[in-house]
Amino acid sequence: MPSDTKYLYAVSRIKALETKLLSRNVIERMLDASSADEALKVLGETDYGTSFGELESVYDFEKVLNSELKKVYKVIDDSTRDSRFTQMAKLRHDFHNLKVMLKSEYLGENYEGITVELGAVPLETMARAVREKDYTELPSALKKAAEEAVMDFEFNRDPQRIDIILDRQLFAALYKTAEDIGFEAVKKFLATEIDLININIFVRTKRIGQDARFLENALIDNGNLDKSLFIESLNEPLGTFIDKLSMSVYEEVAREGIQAVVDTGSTTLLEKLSDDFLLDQAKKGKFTAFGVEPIIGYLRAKENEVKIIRIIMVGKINNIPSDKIRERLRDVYV
Amino acid sequence: MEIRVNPTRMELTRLKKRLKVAQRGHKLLKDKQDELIKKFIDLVKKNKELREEVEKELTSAFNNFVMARAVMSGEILEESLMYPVGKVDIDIARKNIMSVITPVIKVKQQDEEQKKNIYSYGFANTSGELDNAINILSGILPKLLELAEVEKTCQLMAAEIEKTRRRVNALEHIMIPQMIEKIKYITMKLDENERGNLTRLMKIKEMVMVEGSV
Repeated sequence: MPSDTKYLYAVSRIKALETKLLSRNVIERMLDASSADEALKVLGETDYGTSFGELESVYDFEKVLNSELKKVYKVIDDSTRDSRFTQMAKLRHDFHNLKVMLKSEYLGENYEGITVELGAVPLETMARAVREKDYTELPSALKKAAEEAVMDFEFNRDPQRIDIILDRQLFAALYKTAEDIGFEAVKKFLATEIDLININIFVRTKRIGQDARFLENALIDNGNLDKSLFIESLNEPLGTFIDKLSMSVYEEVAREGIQAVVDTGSTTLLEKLSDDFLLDQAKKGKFTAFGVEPIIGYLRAKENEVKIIRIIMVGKINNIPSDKIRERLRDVYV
Repeated sequence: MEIRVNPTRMELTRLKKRLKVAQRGHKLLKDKQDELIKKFIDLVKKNKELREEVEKELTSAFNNFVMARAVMSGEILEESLMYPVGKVDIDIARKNIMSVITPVIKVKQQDEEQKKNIYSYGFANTSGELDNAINILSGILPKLLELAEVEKTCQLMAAEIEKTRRRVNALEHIMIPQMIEKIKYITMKLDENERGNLTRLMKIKEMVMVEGSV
């Protein structure tokens, strides 16, 4: 394991930036705003104000969020002099773009509007690779994923499988990057995320009545919880599954979140609790002075923040009552 | 109004015949209109019920969508849905209601395997609220198609009713009165001629009698 002090400069810089994260107070004010415009105004008073330049209407707020994320990636890249941290965030966007391009290739239609520019691979490079079915220019993880997805699609013609294969490959790539970084904390954090995603996948698979083979395909590797635990529980009631998880760290998530799925059929609470749990893990970064925890914590916090803002803004634009929005609001980092 | 018609006996017979046809046609069309309206009202009632039902479910589906949209970024949501997997085959037949050709939409039942697989996206970075929305939408598809059928039928019927009413009105208020007017005109003209002829005859008879007595 590399030395704890390797990223000393980055950690101190992030410590300074942490103070600029949105506080609960700001979020409450956005939530109480009478309209989307008002909520956006509140946001404009914060650090996000600097990204407001390209904003034309409230509907463009996602542009602000994206450019904010871009800035965060740049800060982390610059301060750590190591692109692997943001690589873990950017990979997700790359895989998203790959999904869009593969699907639009098969649909024969152009879907430029739904790609994101936050990835590490330029969109043109990826578009060319997909069009010419020559993936050599892509990073190896993407290349492997694209080849597998294309082969599977030629055979099965099922677009859901594109998503499933790419998701699986994405997390495999993330895990590899985490291993490469070498800090136990990064790996542990990723494994926790995978566990929570797997719980979510399991509950949803059960809810739509899919079979074990589907579940096995959809589940992500490298989690702490064994895949067989999920597969064996598929034919048992959700209550049993909650009991099984009661011995693990996910006890609370399971008891409240999955119980809510049993009671109301809605995964809203489970998803919120999962995100909160993950953020709780990330919060460790706040109290560590060295090591990588502050870096991954800050990244996660920023992504969480973006999610919170999106929930509030979409809610406000669609005139959804505040309590309905609050139900879905994630915890905050600070 | 100027009446332009030849005041001849032949024209009169022709007009009388036409009047009879027009009156018969008017009665038939009127019956058709009444029946159409009766059917139309039934359909509209059904349409209203269906629409309310569908709209209620659609509202809940859209609510789920909005919430899914809130927890997922717009790009991910669109990517999830860009390549649909659900397939529904429909059969369109025709039905004749009071000579209005209306569509009949039949949904071919999907098999169980397909029903399970209406989700076109992976589960790792999508929200469960999207599942709900998709599930509801897929469930109301048959109802939506039925609504489409009923609504189209209503539209076609409404157009037909309008057409029929115009015809009935044209017959009732223009054609038939005009013909009656024409018949009256010809009858009067003919009677007038008859009377002129009679007077002329009487006058000649008088003249002949005066001449004879001399």
